[in-house]
Amino acid sequence: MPNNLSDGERVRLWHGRTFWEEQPHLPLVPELLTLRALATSSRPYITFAGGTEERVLTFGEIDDLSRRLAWWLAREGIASRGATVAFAPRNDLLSVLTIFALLRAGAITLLLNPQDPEGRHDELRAGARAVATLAIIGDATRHRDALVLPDPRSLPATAPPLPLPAADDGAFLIGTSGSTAASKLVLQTHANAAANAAAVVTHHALSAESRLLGCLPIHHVNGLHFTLFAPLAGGAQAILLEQFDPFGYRAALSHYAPHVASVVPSMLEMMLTADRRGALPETLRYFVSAAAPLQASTAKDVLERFRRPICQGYGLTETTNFSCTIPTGLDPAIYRRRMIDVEIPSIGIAMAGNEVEILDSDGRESPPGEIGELCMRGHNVMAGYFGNAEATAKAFRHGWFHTQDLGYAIQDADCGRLFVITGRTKNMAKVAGEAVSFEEVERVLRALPGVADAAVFAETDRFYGQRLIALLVAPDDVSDTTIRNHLKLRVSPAAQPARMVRVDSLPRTPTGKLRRPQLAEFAARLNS
Amino acid sequence: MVKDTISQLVGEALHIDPGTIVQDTDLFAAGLRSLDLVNLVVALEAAFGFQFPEEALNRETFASPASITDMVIRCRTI
Repeated sequence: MPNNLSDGERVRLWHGRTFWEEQPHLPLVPELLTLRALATSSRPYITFAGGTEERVLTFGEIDDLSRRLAWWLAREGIASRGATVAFAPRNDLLSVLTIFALLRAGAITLLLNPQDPEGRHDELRAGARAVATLAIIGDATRHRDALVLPDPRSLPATAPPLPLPAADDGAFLIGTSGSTAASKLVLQTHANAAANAAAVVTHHALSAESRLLGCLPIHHVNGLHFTLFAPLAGGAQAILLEQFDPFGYRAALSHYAPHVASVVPSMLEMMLTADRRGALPETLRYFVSAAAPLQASTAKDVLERFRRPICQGYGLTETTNFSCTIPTGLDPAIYRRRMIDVEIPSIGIAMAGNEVEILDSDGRESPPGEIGELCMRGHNVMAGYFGNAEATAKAFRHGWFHTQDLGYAIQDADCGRLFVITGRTKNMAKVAGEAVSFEEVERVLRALPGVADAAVFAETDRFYGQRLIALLVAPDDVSDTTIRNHLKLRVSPAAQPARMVRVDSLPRTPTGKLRRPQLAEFAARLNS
Repeated sequence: MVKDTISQLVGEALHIDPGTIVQDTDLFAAGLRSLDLVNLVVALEAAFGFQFPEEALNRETFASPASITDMVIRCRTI
């Protein structure tokens, strides 16, 4: 690899090669739409289920309707190459069409969580310098400034195609809860999306015969890249549930007969409680679980009760979607050895297109078994944090993306090089698969008049994975209801504390830093 | 008794004052999410010392405090 490259250039190389060198002919998402429509126009691409009525879009329809909408967005001057447009998608047909239309128009989509309060949307829109905010027809909770999109079927079928975006063009901006109080915006490119989709197609051998069941929200990278783009790249069929319903999930597995089902660990725990029947339909080969750590006990219960293995994956918004995944079709004895008879199940091997390493604090590779920071480089690594060169440089030091997750490697004779995550160096929790920054919640709590001090930590929870506990220095006349209402307007539902505890003061160092490791013990002492 | 316990547990699941819950409150409209729902199943089973039968585990059972009460009474008498 040439030595004169910057960290920002090296972090996007895979074994020393750029995306263009490695994949000169790999189609980007807008081109994939056209290619799929030419090849298999009448085959179903995506089925929308779980809402009031089932809707199906073929590869031909998604191409046609997203082209019409892209043309309208360009004609109205809303979406143009490199302009940022905010959108809070739901798991429905019009939201999916809008995402594809924005990609075709060359705009950068700022993905908003529709559950987030408007204050959070405003913060992200300002940070991303969004020029417009879109909403689909009938969205009752749309942003006050949102432009309502027309029904794509009402637009001219003769809409001319727009020029294709370049691989390095921005595709998505996604807010991420980092270790600091302010949220950072991850800029993902068209090349990132294409590289991730290609890697997923290879890993899971997706083909025209494959069906993938998704229920994760598509404003989240896992729902977006895994459920929408990977099936498109593989010519496979996607089924997108409006949301996860623990009582209805088995029926969806029976009815749609997917081969792969995408979940987060808390959904598996919910199914284990809400569904007391045995083996799942035989058409399902395995679950893919990501976004939060899977417990060995969950893997064991799912295997014993539902008779299915779980392919655990791992990735961050900064690495598009998947950096690692457990190999598919493992021999049962090997599966047990790496996923069940262990303290922490493995996150698997590096996906094609990215290298994964465990680095020490000097950026040197650690030998197998030794704990260090999990780092990666390759075609799925983001362009950077939008408008934040300092944070980008810090994350890309030594030419590797630094996850702030700790772990080690295992050289396994059957699987290859596996990775295990042991902990985090950042002050974050994963609540039902959603990353929540302690500092962000603390900042919001301290901003409420009357709250003198606040600290947040996480407790383990069977269904949520983790839940927040808030410690507050505040007089009784600032009621719990006042505090909850304040939070509801400013942070996502995942960041709402399960419990709030009043304290006289918080454990801090002489320089005023919170003694985080002591918070849980401090709260336990108060209870006793 | 059963009604009070159910109101209490539903209030905890929804993070709202149990006093504001009436028997025909539509729990899904009130914001009961899947995670809260499963937590509620576990809490009800622990409080009443039984396991819901397979056919009771559906959205209709948990639509309102009244429908939960009906099912709890039926399950306890089986």
